[in-house]
Amino acid sequence: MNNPWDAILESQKKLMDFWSGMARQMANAPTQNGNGKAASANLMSQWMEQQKQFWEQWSKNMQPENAMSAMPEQWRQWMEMQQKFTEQYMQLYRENAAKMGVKWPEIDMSAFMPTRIMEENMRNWRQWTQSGDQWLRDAMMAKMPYNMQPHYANFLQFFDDMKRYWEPIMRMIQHGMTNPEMIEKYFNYDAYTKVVNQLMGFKSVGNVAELIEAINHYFEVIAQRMNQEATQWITLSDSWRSKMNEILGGSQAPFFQFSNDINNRLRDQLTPFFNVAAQGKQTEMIKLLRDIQFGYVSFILKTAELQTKVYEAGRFALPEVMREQYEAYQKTKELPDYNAFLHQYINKLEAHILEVLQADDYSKLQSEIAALGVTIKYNADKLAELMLSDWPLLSRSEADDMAKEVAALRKKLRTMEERLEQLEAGVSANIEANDDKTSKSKRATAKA
Amino acid sequence: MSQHKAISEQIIEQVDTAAEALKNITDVKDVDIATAPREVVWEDGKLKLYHFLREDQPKAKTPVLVSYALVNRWEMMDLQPNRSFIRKLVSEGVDVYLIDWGYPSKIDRYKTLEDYILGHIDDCVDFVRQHCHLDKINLLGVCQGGTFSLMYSALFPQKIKNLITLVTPVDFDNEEGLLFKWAKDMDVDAVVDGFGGIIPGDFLNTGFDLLKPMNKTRKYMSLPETMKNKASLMNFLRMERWVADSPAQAGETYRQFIKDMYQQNKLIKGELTLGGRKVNLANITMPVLTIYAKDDHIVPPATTKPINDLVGSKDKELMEFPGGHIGVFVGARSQDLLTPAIAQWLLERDK
Repeated sequence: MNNPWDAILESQKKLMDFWSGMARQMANAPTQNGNGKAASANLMSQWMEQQKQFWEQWSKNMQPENAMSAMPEQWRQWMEMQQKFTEQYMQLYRENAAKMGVKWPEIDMSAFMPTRIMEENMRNWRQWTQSGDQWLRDAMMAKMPYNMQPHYANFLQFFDDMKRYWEPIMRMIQHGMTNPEMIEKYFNYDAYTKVVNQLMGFKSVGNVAELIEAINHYFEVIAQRMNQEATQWITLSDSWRSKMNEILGGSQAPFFQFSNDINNRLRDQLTPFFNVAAQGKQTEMIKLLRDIQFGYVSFILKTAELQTKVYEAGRFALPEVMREQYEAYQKTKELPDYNAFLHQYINKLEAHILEVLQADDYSKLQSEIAALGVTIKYNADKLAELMLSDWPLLSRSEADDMAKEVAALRKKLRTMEERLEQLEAGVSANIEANDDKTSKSKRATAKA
Repeated sequence: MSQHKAISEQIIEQVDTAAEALKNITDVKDVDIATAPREVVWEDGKLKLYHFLREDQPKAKTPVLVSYALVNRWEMMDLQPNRSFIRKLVSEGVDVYLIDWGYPSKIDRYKTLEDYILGHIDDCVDFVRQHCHLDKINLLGVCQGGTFSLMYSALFPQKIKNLITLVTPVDFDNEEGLLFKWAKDMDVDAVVDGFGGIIPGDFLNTGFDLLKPMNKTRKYMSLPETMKNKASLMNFLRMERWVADSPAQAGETYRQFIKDMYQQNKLIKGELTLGGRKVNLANITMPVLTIYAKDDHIVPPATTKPINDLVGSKDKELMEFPGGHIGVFVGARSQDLLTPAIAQWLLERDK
């Protein structure tokens, strides 16, 4: 046994063998004394035919990818069939026994029905297949690179969500209920936008008005707090000192006291200069915060516009696919399986969405959103830099200056290398020319 | 009852499939890519120059230097042993060197096209020339790396013996490819500055994903089928690893490339200057092989084909590959037809 799967498979095999043996005994019993032979044979062949049809249909519709999850349902249907057969068989047996003058005891047949055992087993089986399916997904997720995992998680969610709609969708296809309004009653706009979000990796903006109100409220609170703190601003070194006192249990922390004093002294001396020469740090921070707020509101509005364009584009993909499948069903009388349906749906949806993505206004809107998004990030970074300017760390602007220096040095070095190459080429050309001149004069001397 | 038995076996078979898939995925310990034996022969900061090792002597005396794009990683060219453009090229008798650009970080934000082309590529070309005691070597550029190779060959034709461009854009005035359309509208200054001068790889990947928004869903829908077979599963996981490993871009280079190429199409107009020198594609007089993929949705054929008209070479050839942008490196046809054809083309010009 390599893994638990083998164990379960083994038990399933035993179970099937059990049923096989049981059926064989039932088939043989009435024929041994010749009573009810014809009726029994009839019932048996009918049962065999049902079995054949059932499994043929099943293997035709079964897809490897849903083998795990579809198995319990399949198993249940099969058992119902077995139960029915056993009841018919027992009825036949009872009638024959009565003909022979034997009264069949009135007992609860379910007590010795093998299907009971199987039902019990099936519960475990169902539980196991569900966890097996999850196990398979988890194992795959664990092997995916971390930045691909959200895409895969989105897909799994999409696959499961759509599956919940599949059964009624299939019935609607079967009965030609492909009118968009009718479909929307079942697969409504919210359900549809959720699917698009999962497929496109969108984070839905949701209710724009509510969101903007929440954003504005949030920024007002932050700005108010900043304003308050601006009047009684404590430097970072103050908080260091209190933190260290906390950690050291109230004892003295001379280094932090010292650094705090220096920092405060510097700040006191520089404040008048800042007041004259530039806006204070706090004022700049408030301004940045406002920029972020307005940028964010614009970002939300534009994103909502872009998402709406995409939603609208693919809205009729489902009715179209269902109509096509209904037409195909009328010709073949065969319904597609879930996977075939889903493939057709995402292809159609993509074709519609691509029409929007190719439009000029979409391209411009997308560009505006990208610019707004990164500008918010830029301002947020700047705000963080200002907030942490007392920290003894290299700031982004300082690192940026270093990168500039490195770039300038790289350029200088390349220019110097080029000059060196030119010089080398010039020197070797001179040497060659001199060598040539010397040998010519030597030859001339020799001739003379 | 034998039929009943057969049905039982059928059930078991279906369950076996799932069990096999689980076994396959749990057996995966390491998703290895780029396994062709190689050594680092030269380094400059984050850049590495690889030389691919071989057991026999190369058939061609002139080596080829591969310049990959700055977007994504070169490992696509050596995804797995039986789908390796590099291994195939080596086995066909070509001596292969390759530039690994590394992973730019914020310190590289001011790196420019000049730094890449006049600096890095030129340094690598000079190294290989010295290493092989040759005046000229072959240059093979891939996608954006091909555009770089064209610029380089136009500026330093004396150092390049033969030039090959693979799925390389040169005419950026194109509406067929969505990337070309979107890049025209892009506020590249805001993007570069907003990202603090370094463009994250995930930002670029999002753009590529949007070109065919349902591709990922299709791929994941086929997973149960893929997982049944260990080789297919490994191929899938290697591709995922490659796609996920998307290096950031040096902001200034990105800004320059978007503005000069996508927005102003300067190379084709003869208006591009690098380090104060005008890049004139007519200066490319060495033999040129231009390969494009027929169904390329990232670099459509129309953006590639003009190379053949713009270069000044007498010996030039356009080659169509039946497939997509990535298929050029990993498809079976690439192994069977394209790479041997490239090797043959090089061998014929290896005098």
